[in-house]
Amino acid sequence: MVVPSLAVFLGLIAIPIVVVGLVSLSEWTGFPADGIRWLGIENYRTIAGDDIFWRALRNTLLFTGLTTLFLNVIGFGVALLISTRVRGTGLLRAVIFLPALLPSVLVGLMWQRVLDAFGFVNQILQWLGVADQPIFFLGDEQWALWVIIGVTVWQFAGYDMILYYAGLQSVDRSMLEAAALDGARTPATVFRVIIPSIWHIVGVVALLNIIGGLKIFDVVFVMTRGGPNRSSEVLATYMFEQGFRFSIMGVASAIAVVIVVLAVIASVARFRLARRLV
Amino acid sequence: MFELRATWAKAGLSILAVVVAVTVVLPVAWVGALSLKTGREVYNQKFLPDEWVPGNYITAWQEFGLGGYFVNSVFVTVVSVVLTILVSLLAAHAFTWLRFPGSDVVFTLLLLGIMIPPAALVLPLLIEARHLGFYNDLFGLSLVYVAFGLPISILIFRGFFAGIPGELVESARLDGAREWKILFRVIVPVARPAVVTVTILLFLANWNDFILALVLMRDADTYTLPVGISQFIGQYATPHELIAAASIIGSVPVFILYLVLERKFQQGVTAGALKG
Repeated sequence: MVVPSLAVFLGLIAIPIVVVGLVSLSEWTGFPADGIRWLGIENYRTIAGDDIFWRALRNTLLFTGLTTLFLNVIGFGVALLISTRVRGTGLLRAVIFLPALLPSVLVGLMWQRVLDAFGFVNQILQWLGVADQPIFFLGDEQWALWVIIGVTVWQFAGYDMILYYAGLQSVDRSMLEAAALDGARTPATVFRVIIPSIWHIVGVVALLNIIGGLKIFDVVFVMTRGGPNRSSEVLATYMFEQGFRFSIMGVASAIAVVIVVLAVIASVARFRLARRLV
Repeated sequence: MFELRATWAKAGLSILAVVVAVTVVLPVAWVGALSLKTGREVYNQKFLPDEWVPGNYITAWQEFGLGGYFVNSVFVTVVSVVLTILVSLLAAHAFTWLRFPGSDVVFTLLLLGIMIPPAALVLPLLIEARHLGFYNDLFGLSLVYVAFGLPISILIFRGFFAGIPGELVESARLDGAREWKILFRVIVPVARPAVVTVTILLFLANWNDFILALVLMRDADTYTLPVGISQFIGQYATPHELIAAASIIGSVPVFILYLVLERKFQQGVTAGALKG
């Protein structure tokens, strides 16, 4: 009964992992007819000396770090807000989770329109009198990566909210009541009682965001293709370009191996933390 | 969770909640309004169209050939979700009740798949697809989705099965039932909630997938919705209002399912994230 699972897993995950490792040590266009030449670690030397690779790595890490930070702060804040159950929070709970379910490609497409020269954001900025010229958010090196970060936070804040909301339900009621009896103010309750008692969940959620951040591709590919001038290039888009536009499979595979290594490190950390949860 | 006594605090938080909700909705609403404008009105400063053009949706559907992408998306999603659930139910049953020598090793091996991001394997998958002949093939793409969906499904099913009393299985065995019958007649009816959770998780992952379909599908008649719609972005001649309409059309299926199954979606995603 395990055979079908094992067959699909070996054929479409395990073997590809081996193949990507082998190809990263070779020179190849990826087409069956073309010859393969073994290079050893040459491709890794190539990317180590490649400024664009370092830029893509730096952007990936910056994106991952900042989205993780913003998503956790906003997700936790909104979860707290919703758990007060004041009026309006029912609406908020329903709508904030929705973007997380949509295809990232469509989210990217929608925001591309919202942020273009005639888009909603520029309309508001001009109406407020902040900017008299439209800002080309996606065509400006200073803005592009920040826009990608902003859109991702917009999309996935509800995801973190749901996880924190589930976590908040496990906070010991009697501790909250005791804090209230002691006359603790709300901020004190949040920082002294609630955050310490869900600290392990913070770790798991942050690592989930990190894992998601390291493989960022869809939104960047749709909105900027890593541009302008590589300012929003990330590892996955750079890998895609090397492999599929230029057919340099060896270098592309070396970049893929870097992505796998980063993802495995983050996942192992997450498993360790999650095991302590149970 | 909190007892807020001060009315001003409640009012302040209510306003905050509405402001955040509006921030989430407004960009989508603006795109929705854009999708109903005429080509000339796209560049004006008004939120709502002067002249409403619902016909944009029909134009977008026909001009972009969304019908074909839609059918492809439904096909790969349904095939991959059904196959993943069948295959992972079998595996989880064996891991729970037919423990064999080395079953823990195999289980751990399968779980390692959770760590691997699909984006990192698109190159070797393309190479394999070209060599083995499943390149540009919708069923081949479905099988790739099965591979990436298996680890999390097996993990969730196995976790749920562990809570089912063993006597159920034992007594069915004494009645002489075969293992697959025990699984589908005895276990699956009990494990319904887990099946719902896994279905939602897999549906979202496979319906929304972009990079695997982008790499493994070559011809327009095999594109899924995200890939098909994304092909029009590069073309600057594509009218904005039609791109807006196409993005709204692509979001509608998820939106409707979410309206119907809101709590189930939230539970499913939570389980996938915290248990996985």
